[in-house]
Amino acid sequence: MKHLTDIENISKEDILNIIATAREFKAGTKVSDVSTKTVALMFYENSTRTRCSFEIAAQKLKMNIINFDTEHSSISKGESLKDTIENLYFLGVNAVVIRHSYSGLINNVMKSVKYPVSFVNGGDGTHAHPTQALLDFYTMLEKINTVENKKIVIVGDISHSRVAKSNIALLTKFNADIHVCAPSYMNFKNFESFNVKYHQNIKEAIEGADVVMALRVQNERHEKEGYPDSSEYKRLYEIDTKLLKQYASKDVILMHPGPANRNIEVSSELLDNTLGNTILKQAQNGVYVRMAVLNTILKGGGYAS
Amino acid sequence: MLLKNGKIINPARNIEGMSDIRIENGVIKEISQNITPEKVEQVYDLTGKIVTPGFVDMHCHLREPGYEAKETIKTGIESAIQGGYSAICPMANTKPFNDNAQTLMYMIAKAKETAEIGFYPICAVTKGLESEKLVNVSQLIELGAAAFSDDGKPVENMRLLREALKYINSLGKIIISHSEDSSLAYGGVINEGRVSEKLGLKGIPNITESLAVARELEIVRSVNGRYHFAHISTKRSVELIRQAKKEGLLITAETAPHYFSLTEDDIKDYEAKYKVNPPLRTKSDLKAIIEGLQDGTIDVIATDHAPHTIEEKTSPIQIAPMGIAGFETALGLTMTYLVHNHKLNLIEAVKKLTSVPASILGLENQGKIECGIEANLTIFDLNEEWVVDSSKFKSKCRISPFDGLKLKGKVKNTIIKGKIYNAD
Repeated sequence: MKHLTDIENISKEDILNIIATAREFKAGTKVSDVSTKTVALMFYENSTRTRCSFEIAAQKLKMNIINFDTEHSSISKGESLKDTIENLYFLGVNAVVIRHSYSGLINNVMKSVKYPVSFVNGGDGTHAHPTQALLDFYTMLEKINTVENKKIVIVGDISHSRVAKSNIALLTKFNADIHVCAPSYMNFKNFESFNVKYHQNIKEAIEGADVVMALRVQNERHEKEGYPDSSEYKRLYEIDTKLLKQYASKDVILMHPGPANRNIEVSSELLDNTLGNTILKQAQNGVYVRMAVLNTILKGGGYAS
Repeated sequence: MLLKNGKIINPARNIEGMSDIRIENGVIKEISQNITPEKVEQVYDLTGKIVTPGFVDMHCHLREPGYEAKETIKTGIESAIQGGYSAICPMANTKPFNDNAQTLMYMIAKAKETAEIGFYPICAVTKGLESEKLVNVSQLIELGAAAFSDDGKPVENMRLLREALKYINSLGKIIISHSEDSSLAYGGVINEGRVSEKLGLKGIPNITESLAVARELEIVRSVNGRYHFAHISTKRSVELIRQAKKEGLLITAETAPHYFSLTEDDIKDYEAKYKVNPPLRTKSDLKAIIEGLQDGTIDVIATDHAPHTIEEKTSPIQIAPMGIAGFETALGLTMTYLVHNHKLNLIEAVKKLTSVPASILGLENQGKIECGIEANLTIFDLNEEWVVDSSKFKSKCRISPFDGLKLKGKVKNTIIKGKIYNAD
């Protein structure tokens, strides 16, 4: 495994290896194999958590880190991002982590770059966010051991969510019972693309759920498209303690990729009680999972081997 | 000049058979079997080849004036001739738009410098393609406008479209519709469906087209107008047009080769060379397009030749412009996907490339093989296999979704007013 652009491009075995490596890093039983390597973080879209998480992961791996200044470099064309990365390669960069608002840009650029640079997708448009799905999976396994036949419900802004798509891709590989719940204007436009069950009603959706994953409502996009504001969403879909207690499984875990809009997707009171802790665990596990990803794709001479 | 031993297809008269053709001074002089060559006459042995009227493309974009990096009138005409076309109709979305006498005259003059190809520009319906003000119709017709279209954009203003249709029809010309509802298209990149959802690309819903078709059919019905639908791509549009034709509306329709050869499933790795408007649709749409071609709902195969630079077409798919270079692959795709696949017989396919578009636009010297008219002919090999290589295109657009594809059917020569061009 030399790249991580999309969950669909990696095998179950790859995923389980990453999870196992992440566990070792978390337990402190593994040291970095990639301390001589250099990673460039190229974030063309606002990001606090993912960027910090990658940065801390690379630091813990004792890697060299370049925080590429994306603000002052134009990449209106795929070609110039290719040139930039080929240049970085000759400066000694072994891997690039790219986040961009264009779906699939990373796939295109990866195909055109002629030198052995490893690509990690830090989130592309509304397409994929594979490290998020991996850290979510890690967190689920930590809490409930397996996802097979577990009822996992993803709630909220599905259609704009790369997190939802990568989670669905991963959980499908491990035979989870995947449900999604959203108002129609936030739902997938084409349902056949995914092997999931849809619920319009949230009570019905989270009935007996083992995992409830809330997504951030991307208000800025909805307003641009003329859809109702988040108060409309909140009325029908806000998750609070009472709802979870009444309908979900008694050991339900609540997840959220962050940043959460308090009192919109999830009530503030729920975020602050013990059920909200898993969300912070997700962030913590993200560091170890990203360490595992960088270590896996770059170890043993990396790409060239 | 004498063309010997070719198989002649004259779709205007439904005639198919072996004949020789004598051309003198650019005009067809004689059509009969076993013409004896004269001493000084140039003789071409076309054994095994097919001779048809020169192809007529009622929908292309030549980009000049304004976007000469994408294509010029010269390279566009050379590309058309390479593809077997003896008549082409460039659309009006140039810069400045072809909505005025000066631009129209400029284009016609430029074309004359290159070749004597039948050059029939389609002028804008509304000034600046803005759906606000009708162009000076009679003046543009006098200068050579073959039809009117805001192609690239729909006419959004239904009051204006209704008046424009009545008036343009009253002067003997038609309007060609770019059927698209802009509010539904809304920044979409590819067809809305399974693939757009998977790839995380904004989709263009199927009804973007059929909604506009339905609305415009009502306009046509209300004024009993003559109207042509460009680049039909969806099943529902085909159904609407089929029904309207049954009801006697005076409408015609075209599709482009990519709508009967590619679908959204071909879009892999976000490659913008597949980005086109209307977008590549689903397998079920493709099937309906072919059925529409078979039962005559779709009258014409037009290229919608829409060249762009390789830099533009290798940009991220979100920002790359829409369009596929069409001239040089049209015959190969038509033969491979329709004729060799037994979807259309040869004469029906040839009709849709020649006599039907010529008759829709009323082009006198095009689309037929008859004594006394200009010798505009295409010679092709129905069975020759070749591999598409856009780096060899005459068009400036050196990128194609068909690159590497093996096609069966190849243009050998194009004859324009008696002048023979080698397309090999």
